[in-house]
Amino acid sequence: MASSIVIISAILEDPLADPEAVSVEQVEGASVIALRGEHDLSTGPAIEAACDSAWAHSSSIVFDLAGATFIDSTVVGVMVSARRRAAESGGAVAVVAPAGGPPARVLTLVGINDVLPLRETRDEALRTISAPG
Amino acid sequence: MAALVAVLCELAIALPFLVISPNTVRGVPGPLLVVIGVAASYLLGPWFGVPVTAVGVVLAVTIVGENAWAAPLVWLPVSAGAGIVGDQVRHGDELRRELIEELRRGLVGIYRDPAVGRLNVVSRYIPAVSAQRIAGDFYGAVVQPTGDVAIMVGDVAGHGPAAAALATRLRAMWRGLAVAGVSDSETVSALNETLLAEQQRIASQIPFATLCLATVAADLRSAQIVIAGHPPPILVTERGTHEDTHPPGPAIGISATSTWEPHPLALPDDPWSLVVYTDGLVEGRTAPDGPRPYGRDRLLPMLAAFAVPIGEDDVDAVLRSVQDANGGALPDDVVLITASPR
Repeated sequence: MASSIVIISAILEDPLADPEAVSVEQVEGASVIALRGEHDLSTGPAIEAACDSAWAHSSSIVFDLAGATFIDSTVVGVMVSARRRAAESGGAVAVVAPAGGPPARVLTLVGINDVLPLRETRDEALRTISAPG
Repeated sequence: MAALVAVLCELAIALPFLVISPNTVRGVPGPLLVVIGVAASYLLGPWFGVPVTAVGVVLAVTIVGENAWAAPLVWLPVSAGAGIVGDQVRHGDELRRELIEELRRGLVGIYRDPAVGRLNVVSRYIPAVSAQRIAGDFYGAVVQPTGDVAIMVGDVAGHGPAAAALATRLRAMWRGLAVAGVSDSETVSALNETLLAEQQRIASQIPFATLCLATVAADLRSAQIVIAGHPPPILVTERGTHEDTHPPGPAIGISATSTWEPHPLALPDDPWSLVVYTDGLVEGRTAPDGPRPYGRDRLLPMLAAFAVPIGEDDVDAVLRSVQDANGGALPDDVVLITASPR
């Protein structure tokens, strides 16, 4: 009963909303925030909330954009801010964005691949932040 | 005058209740009239609403037949309070509208005249759907002392008053440097330094901004392009479109050590148009329920199909077809500029 109410209210809010569009996961000393589908200003607050819960567990974040079909500058902004915060607390931020995919194209255009390392897989990204330098 | 009309209206509303036996509807019309007065006070102001409420109270007590004066009279201060609150809300709304208007004015070019030096500059700024969601796209075009024409389009990441206010500061700063004839790469470095300082000073929520600067030489034979994380400009000629393919410099506000190199762009003798825009133009949907983004791949053939130079109607046609594909207004601000020889 309770779960059906939750489902109904989720459908009423946004019929297209994917309940797993933003997910946070803890793995060996870092938090992985995985984005699925399209992300822009409307999902920015959800991604920021995911960052907040990630900071509570670790000082490093991996943004996994392998499942994201579209990101706009709002999402890039959240990741740049996260990188700044990580740098202040001795952590690191890495991004999983397979070359040629939509997120990689946006990140390359904005020209922030120098400060936010782009990696092909989640394992590579986790290795990057565990061996900073 | 307005108060008189309101009182007459109220009497008109009260009239049927006077005709119908008061006994059957006792208790209904009195409160109803008073409520109308309080609502008028909130919606139209206390100077209008309190007299209406007073008439309501008088009617409720003397004509329709409430039992005592004490209770209905309480509605007079209530009405005055509602009116004052309503005035504050209206004042706040008006102030917000004015601020947004003023911020928007600061984002766009100062002159309406499309003639800028030897160029004809057609510009469009389409704010994001909601008036409350002011964003940070900005642009400008000025003639430099040498006769070169400097064109700039920028996009501050983030939304809201902070993004818009920062965008107006960056635009004003760009204009000053451009009019003084400072080179584009030095200008971008100065804007980068400013944004980094703003982030320090006010713990700004603005993570970065992107810029495209295009300076067309006075002889119209070449242009210098400097890109900071922004979509590259598109050169449209009778032979088709040419997109600047040099790797872009980074967005500003990210690193103090970033540098930006100008790239030359040769301009042909036959007619041409230089198209500069913000990403909002190509980030809508491909179809009303299709995926995002619309993409540059769809924009280029559309531009190539126009007769050169691209005119006002063509620019509007581009915006229309991008909006149609999206199935309505675009989710983000859009700036679209074309510059062509006059």
